[in-house]
Amino acid sequence: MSGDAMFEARELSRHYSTGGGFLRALDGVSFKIFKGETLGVVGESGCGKTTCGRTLIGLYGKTGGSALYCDADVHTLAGEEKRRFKKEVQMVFQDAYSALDPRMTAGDIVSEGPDIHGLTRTRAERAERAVRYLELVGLGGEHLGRYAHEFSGGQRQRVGIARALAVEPQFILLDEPISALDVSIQAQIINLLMDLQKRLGLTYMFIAHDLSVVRLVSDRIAVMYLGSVVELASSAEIYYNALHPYTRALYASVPIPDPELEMRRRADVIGDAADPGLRPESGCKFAPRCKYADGVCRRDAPPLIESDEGHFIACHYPIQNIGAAPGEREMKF
Amino acid sequence: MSDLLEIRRLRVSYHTMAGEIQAVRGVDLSVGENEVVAVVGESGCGKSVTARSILRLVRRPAGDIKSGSEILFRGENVLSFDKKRLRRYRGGECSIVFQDPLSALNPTMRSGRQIEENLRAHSGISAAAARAEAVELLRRVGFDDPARRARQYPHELSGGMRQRVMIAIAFSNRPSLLIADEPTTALDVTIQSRVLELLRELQVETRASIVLITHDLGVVAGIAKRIYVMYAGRIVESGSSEDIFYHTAHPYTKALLASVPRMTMQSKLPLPYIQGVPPELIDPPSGCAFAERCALCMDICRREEPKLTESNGRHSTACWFETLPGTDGGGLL
Repeated sequence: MSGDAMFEARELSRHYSTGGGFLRALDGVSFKIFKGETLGVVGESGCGKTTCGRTLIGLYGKTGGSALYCDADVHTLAGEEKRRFKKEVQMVFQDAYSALDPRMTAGDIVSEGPDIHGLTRTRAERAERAVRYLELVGLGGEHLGRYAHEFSGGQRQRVGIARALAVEPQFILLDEPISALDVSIQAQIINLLMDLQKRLGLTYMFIAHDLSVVRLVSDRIAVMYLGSVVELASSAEIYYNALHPYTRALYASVPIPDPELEMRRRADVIGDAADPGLRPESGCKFAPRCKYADGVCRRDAPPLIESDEGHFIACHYPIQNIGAAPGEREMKF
Repeated sequence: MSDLLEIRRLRVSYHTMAGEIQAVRGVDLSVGENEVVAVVGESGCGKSVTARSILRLVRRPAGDIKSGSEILFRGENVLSFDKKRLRRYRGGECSIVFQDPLSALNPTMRSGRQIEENLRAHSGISAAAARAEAVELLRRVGFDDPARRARQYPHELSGGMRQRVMIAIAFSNRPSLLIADEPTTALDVTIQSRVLELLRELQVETRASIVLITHDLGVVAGIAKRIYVMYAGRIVESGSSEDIFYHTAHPYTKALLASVPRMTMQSKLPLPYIQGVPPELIDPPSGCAFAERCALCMDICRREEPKLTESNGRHSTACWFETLPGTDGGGLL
């Protein structure tokens, strides 16, 4: 794969200064997002996945490296270019309740973007457009005059998606768009997002902490740990041939809706989620939680290398392929 | 064997500007000694209200436990406890773990103190002994450095750690019954596994019964012996974990089970989901509450409400399709 990368992160970093030093929330990550694909980003709280997404689209300033959108530096865009970027790149947030202005109606929320970008001229056109986008996400025109608190959680997230779509974007950053929803509603929103992608030719970056969900929507997946990408490969590779112990641990932590299998599942993980403020001075960041770690791991940080075509991994001791998917059976690793 | 907890005909309403919301509409539920029981359902099905009722945490005047309801703890009606008896019951014989530990813990109190508070409220234990016991409890819930954690405030702990502090408080007086209301919903999957494992261990160790409230059937598979499925304020199916997972009877349970993302699902394909939304409980439908969303809906379903009927031992279903002669729910969905 090459050529039509829509986004590219090159050694992209975002450090925060804290009382005594720096918190390296995003610590030099490199990856591409190709046109029309979904790049899933998965990791625990504090791994920097949200910072990664927001720095990539210029919502957060960077402290190192660069973020490119169609070969232009996201952080130095200005004038007409910046305006176009803001129309083409949209975002959907985890908590739709706080992402929607409680004093605006759904119609106004969906119309705000088109207003700013001058996409509608008359009031009738504006209302017609808002209804069209609400209908696109499965809400009827009767919701036009409703406020955020009048919607259920799933409907609210649909309004958030309609708002993002209303300016006809090319790319949407989806930051845990379903984590706050019931399981039964999650499936609806995932289906909607996949359907919209197909119909409108959208490119997604999909951030979540649950690998079982990320796997279902993504073409490629980046696994993040304490500000770094530790594994990046196609969704199928990550499923059938995960090489990093952390990726395996993420799989093992997904509960299985089957009592016999679930009783046997041993989520062999791995202590508390790492505190981004407390990290090893040297070596692999995952070493303190990794059962395979040895002196080498604690001394030298493994670089992200391409082990197979399109399969990148940062580990001194990648797990040998056990030749089967880590599906609904006991995890061995 | 007499039951530890027996809920009979529980009805709870909330009075709002829009009218009376019948959140719980006649629930019968029992929990044996040393038993883990799960209550599963979507947002708004009444599962949390049921959980809170067990501890009489439904606050008047908005919340209203209707007369005729009975909550029997070892044969005593909790609803007629006087203040003194209630104090002994809450946090002593019966305790609760909430979904969001950050808002459930006191932000101005060190975590150790919050455990001591509960210990001292229920016994004549000395301050020094309570302090030592609190540290011991923190060690038991998995902290490597319990003395240091005891001195920390909730905001200094991660989400998973906070939930473990909550669990330490809940278990501090060796309760006979623990209510766990979505204890892992706000947590990452990796941490969810650990918290479930911890609950499982503590249950075996203390022989306390647990009522686990959740929207995620995956979460209950490895821990619950019996499961109640709630929909629109009523129990629609109940049975052993095997009954619910392997001999699923109610169309709602089947749909709920199908919507859990599984590792065996193909990526980029539409997920099964439940069409529509639950009914408004201000004006509950006269027939089966699930009829509008049900693929098997018949005429009678809209007219008459199906009763919870025992089919096989303790496996009960409230569904016309299952109970009417000449129909056979097995294998159709």
